[in-house]
Amino acid sequence: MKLLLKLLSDPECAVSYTVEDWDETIRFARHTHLLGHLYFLMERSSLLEKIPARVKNIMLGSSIYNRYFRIQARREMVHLAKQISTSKIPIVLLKGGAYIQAQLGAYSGRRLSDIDLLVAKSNLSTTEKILLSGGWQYGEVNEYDQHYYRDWMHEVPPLIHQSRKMEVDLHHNIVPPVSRIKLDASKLLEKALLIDNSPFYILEAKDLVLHSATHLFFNDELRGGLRDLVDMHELCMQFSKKENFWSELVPRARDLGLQRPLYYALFHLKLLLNTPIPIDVLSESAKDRPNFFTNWLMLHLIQGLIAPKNVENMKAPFAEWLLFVRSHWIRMPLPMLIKHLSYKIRYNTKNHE
Amino acid sequence: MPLSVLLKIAKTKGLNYSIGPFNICLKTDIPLFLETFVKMYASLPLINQACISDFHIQIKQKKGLRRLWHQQAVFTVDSSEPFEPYPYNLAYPLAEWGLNWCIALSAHQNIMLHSAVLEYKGLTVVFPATSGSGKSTLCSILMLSGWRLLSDEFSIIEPNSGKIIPIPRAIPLKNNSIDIIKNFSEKAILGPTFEGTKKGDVAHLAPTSESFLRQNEWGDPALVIFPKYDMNIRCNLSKEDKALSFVSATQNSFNYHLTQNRGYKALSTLIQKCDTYNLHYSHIDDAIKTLNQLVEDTVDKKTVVI
Amino acid sequence: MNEVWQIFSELTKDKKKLEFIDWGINISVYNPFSGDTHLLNLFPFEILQFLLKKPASLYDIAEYSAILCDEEHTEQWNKKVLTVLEHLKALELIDYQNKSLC
Repeated sequence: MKLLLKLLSDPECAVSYTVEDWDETIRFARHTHLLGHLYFLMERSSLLEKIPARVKNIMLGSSIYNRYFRIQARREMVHLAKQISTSKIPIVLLKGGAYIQAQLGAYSGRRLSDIDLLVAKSNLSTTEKILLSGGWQYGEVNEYDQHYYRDWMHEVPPLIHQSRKMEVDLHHNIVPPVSRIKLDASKLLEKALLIDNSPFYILEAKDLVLHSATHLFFNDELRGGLRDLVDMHELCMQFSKKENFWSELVPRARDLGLQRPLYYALFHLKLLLNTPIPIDVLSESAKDRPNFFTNWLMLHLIQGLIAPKNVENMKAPFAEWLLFVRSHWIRMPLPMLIKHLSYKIRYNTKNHE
Repeated sequence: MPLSVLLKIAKTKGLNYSIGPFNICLKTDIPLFLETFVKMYASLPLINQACISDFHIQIKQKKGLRRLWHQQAVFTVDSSEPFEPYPYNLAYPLAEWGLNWCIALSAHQNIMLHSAVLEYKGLTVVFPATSGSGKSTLCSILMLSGWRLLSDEFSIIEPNSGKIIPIPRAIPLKNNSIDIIKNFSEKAILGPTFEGTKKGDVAHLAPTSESFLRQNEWGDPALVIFPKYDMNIRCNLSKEDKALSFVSATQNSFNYHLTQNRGYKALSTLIQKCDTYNLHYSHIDDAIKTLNQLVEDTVDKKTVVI
Repeated sequence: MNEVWQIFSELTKDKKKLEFIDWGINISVYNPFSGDTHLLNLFPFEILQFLLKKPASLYDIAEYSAILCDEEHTEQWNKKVLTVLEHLKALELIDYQNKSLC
């Protein structure tokens, strides 16, 4: 994994990689879905002709695959823009969709599978109605799913247009309302900016990083994994030239109640990708770490999942389970969690029969 | 190399070999599987120095106490197990299928077709498969009659040159085809028959050594032929409309949509430069005769033009 | 009747371009916006070519195509042309804009 991390933080070192180095790098990159991103990095640094042809080809295959989904995402966003154009409801694009529309970070190497939208809670049902009337429909959801999404989560069930296949997720917050972290989404919406040549908004620079951190560290099993961390790395590199970005990042996180995920994010960005984060920002953020034991356990679990050391044993079921329970614990109060997990278990067994 | 030595390598650092454009690193601890593998790919040289593998695959016995009374085989690529375990004795078909899966899901730098490709007298012919075309049987018999096999069901177009990269693999024969091929030629090297798979009985036919030795010679396609087996019809060959051929080719591709304009360019170029035919047949001998004749006529025509 | 038909605006951005191949009776077109390929016959193809030159109203398109096909430009013909336009719109090849009345 070290070799992949080294390449992500310093693409130029590609020229010194041996055959054995590449063999290992490719395996980790494939597992973490970063092959397409590597192609982008090599292209950006004009290194494509300096790496072995086989490596270039493997990366190219993944890059073409990712490009297809970016085309589909752009297409979906054009149709969404048309559908909402008359409503005047401000709609914020989140994550991949936002990076593509605003051409941020490493958007052109990125892979994405859905479009995430954020609207004010007061606009949620209107927006939902507008989309439903434009041919978007709920995917396969049962009554329990509807209840789960609507009452406990921060989104409506995924919407998919009849004639296209890209999933649209409509959120009213970036953390669930029943979560132990209370986040006032209007604070995010207030600072959101209109994207050039687009009817959509994007979160302000600091909030973009904070959202990505929240998404990674509060998600089930850290699903986004290293890819989310790479997103943050690229965003930070781009925003570090911005005035006040670094100095205001930790205060903004505290203001939103997201200092803990920011701490985990900055710690791992520095450790794994050597992101040039100013020392004083790191030390300020470190004040938000949990107690010694929790901190030790969390860092251990997170690294085991985001950056596993052995390529043939990249699954860590126990760590995954612990983090799964933890992510639900953050998101749901205990009685609700027990109810949800017991339903999930029952549902899964039923499906397997 | 004796099987026991090979097995030792396969258990530890793995067997490295090139099949067509791909380098594979294969690990296994199943002797029965390895035996069939060696029979199928005897002419394929192993790579002895360090190399970059496109795929690291493993086909291994499932761990756990249950293996004491119920052995199963598991296919692994890197550290993921994309399929449920198979019965132990079906390890070989599982590995072939697993490798198809790896290639189909990731090699989008090329355009991939579900077609057989063979070469005869320097002419490369593409046979897109549809169900009921009898493609594998046809393909096997052509190969055993002196055609070079570039691929049986997985053909790969390099989009910049429009040429076909060979990827000779064991040909899976189903049910009746197994006996047809056995009876057709003594030269046929067949693996064990796997009974009662989802597709019925399956046995694999090894590619000829010529197919392996020339696997780095790309083919420049000249003919696209859509075969169709129909027991009530006399063998006939007819020109197929180019627009329809193009549509069929796009539907025959695994990754036409994913490859976007590259796929469009590659498949339209393929159909534009090839003569396209429908071949309906009830007796395989007639089909072979017709195809040999077609290739000879096409070669003659080309010679006259030059 | 205040609609102006035009090439789908997204297809005119970022050096995107429709790729046509003439197969004799049919013409295939690759749409770089949707990533889809379509097989068109000559009639919709000619309409597409007409709109590639400049946006036009239904009346103008019907007038042009009636001459091309040696047909009379009737209300019936307008309807036929409109069906084709709607079809091309569904393929994300063309679109219309409402011309302001003032």
